[in-house]
Amino acid sequence: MTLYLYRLNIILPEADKDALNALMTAIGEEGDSEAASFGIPLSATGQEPATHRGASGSITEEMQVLIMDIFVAEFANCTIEIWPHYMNNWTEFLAATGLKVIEPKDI
Amino acid sequence: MLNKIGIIPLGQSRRRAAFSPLSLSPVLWLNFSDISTLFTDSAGTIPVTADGDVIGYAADKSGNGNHATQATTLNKPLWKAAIQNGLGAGLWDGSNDYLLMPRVLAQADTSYTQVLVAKLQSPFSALRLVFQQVPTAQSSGAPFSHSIQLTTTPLFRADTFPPSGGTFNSATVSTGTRLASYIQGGTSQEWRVDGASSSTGSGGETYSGVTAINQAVLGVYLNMDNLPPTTVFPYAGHICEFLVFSESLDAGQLEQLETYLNDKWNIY
Repeated sequence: MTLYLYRLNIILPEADKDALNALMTAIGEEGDSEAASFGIPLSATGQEPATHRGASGSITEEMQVLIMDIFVAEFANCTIEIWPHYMNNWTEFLAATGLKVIEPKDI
Repeated sequence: MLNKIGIIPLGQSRRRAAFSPLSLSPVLWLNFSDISTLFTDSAGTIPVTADGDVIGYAADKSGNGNHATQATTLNKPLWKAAIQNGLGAGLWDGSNDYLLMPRVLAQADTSYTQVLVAKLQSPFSALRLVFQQVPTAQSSGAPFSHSIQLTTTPLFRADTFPPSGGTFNSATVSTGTRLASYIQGGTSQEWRVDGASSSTGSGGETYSGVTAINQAVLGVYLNMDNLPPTTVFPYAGHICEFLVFSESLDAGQLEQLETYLNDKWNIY
């Protein structure tokens, strides 16, 4: 059975991005950098500037405990959902927050 | 001719010499059904062993060392068992999953072939990036090259370098597992879907800016306007296998490769 038992959906204020990216390096699997954890740019209108950042992905039991029970104060400004790992509901989670991804009109 | 027990005699069988994509000298070959090439960490030391494991490293089977990696846990695609014909595949979640590789095609290369086996999910409500090459350095204007995009309709489209006005070549596809091949031979373009030609066209400008395109991305549009880069237009669905060739394969080579992949994945 996989060790990655949970799906984490998370949205954080843009101002907290650097600190929480650094914190994720301590929370994440040993040996891997997590400095780019929060790369989805978000705002209420879907236009620049980004007011929030988001991420969604699978995490281990240990990471889940660290995020939900240990670093409570550090994640206090975040909107967080934890789901079983087989869930893939980022789109629904994002829609419920009222935020939109900032995307170029086309490429 | 059948023998008395209804079996094709060995001497007259339809046996063929085993084909390997390596005979066509790919510059990149990622096979997400081969779990021995997949690891959960980006250093390639912890093997993927179970359904739902993250993919932090996918070894390049071409022999060119263009291994695909992802060092950020939340950005790692997942390995899922028994996705197509009993084989496993990578799952991109449509939020921020991607793998990074060294650049596999030269910046000015207009003769190349990309072959993708993917299980496409609906809805196709937005542009999705399957593959692109981008700078590693912060670069305003977000230059990129050699992309494969999945857009609404749905359809695949490819372009060597859209920002300079390159010409899209598109092919309509439907959901489910698809074998898609894009062949760019100079200014000649062709999409093949499920073993048949889907569309042809002409065009194919190359990136001529000053920014060096020196990494490849599988599964998202990596916007290098700022560092760390933002991730937008994320692909949602399974990627089963992906090959890149630094030449336009001819009809015979494509038939060999597509037959091999279809026999393996049972697509059409």
